[in-house]
Amino acid sequence: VDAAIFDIAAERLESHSGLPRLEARGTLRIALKLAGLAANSVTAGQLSVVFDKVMPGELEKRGVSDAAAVCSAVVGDLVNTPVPAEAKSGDDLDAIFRRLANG
Amino acid sequence: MEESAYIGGLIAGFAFLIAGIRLYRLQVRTGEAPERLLATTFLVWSLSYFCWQLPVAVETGSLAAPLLFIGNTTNELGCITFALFLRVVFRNQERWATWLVVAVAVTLTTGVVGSWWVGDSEGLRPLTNPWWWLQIAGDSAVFAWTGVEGFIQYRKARQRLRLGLCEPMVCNRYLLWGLTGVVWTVYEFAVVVHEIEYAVTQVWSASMDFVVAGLELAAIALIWLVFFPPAIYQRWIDRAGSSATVGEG
Repeated sequence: VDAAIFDIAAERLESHSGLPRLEARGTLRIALKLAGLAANSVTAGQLSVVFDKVMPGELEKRGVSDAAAVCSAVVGDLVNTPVPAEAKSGDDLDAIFRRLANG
Repeated sequence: MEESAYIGGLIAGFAFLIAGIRLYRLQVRTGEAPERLLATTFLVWSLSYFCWQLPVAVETGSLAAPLLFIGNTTNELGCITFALFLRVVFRNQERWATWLVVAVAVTLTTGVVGSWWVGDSEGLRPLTNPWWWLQIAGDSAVFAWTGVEGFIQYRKARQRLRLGLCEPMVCNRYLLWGLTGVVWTVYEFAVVVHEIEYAVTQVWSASMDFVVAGLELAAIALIWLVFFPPAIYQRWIDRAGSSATVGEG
């Protein structure tokens, strides 16, 4: 099950890049994988970093013109989109491993 | 059992006791399942170690066999709660992980009951007790799983680290976790060799004793670095991690 924020980001990417729905979702999944993240637990903050540092390269590979502007537009949309409560914090393994060292 | 393994086991017992108490206190504060399961595992394992070491340290007479049985049983109980920890933390949404925990629990319980049934409740007769091998298989599966999850998460965490999405210490903790799994798996193999050798010769080999103790202490050192890293180690990892992050260092 993907996080709601993933669906929102994929939909915005589709809209701004002109990529077909499946390709937009697939590209986002690949970018997340390259960033060591999972679609079912990604947060809005992590997505912003992925769109800033990973996604431009992935969009260029797929022939999307002005990839940086597309990514900025998606990040802008994400900032202005109210994120559903369940999407704000995923199943954060890093948080568990951070916490366990505070025993 | 000779001196090296005895000292190694004693240190491991105290280390798991301290780590277990600290994690128990953490779970009292947070009420979260991971620290509860890990605290339970470590406390049960510390009890297991003390039950194994007591008959070696002092003359326990007729209490020796029950103590070794409790040591054997609590060791496997700890492995089951540890498998639950792995499932809850690493594979929360995966059905196969639930089945793996069930399989481990059934294997270890069957092994302990079977060993008791054939009169080897201490689990010390690998050549005549087929149930002993079930216990070894269950333990090894849990330890190998620990290593695999650690290295999988370490690879992903390194990718996040480059983007500034993971702290260097957390990333390093996955590596240490993976290494702990490897050391535990090798330790289990060494225990098999050690016990078979004893069953054949009726003498605890001093060299294997040393190997078992060394692996035990190596795993404890890794666990300690995961949960209670010294400040100097944290500074070293933080410095190394900052230079690995894109756009920093």
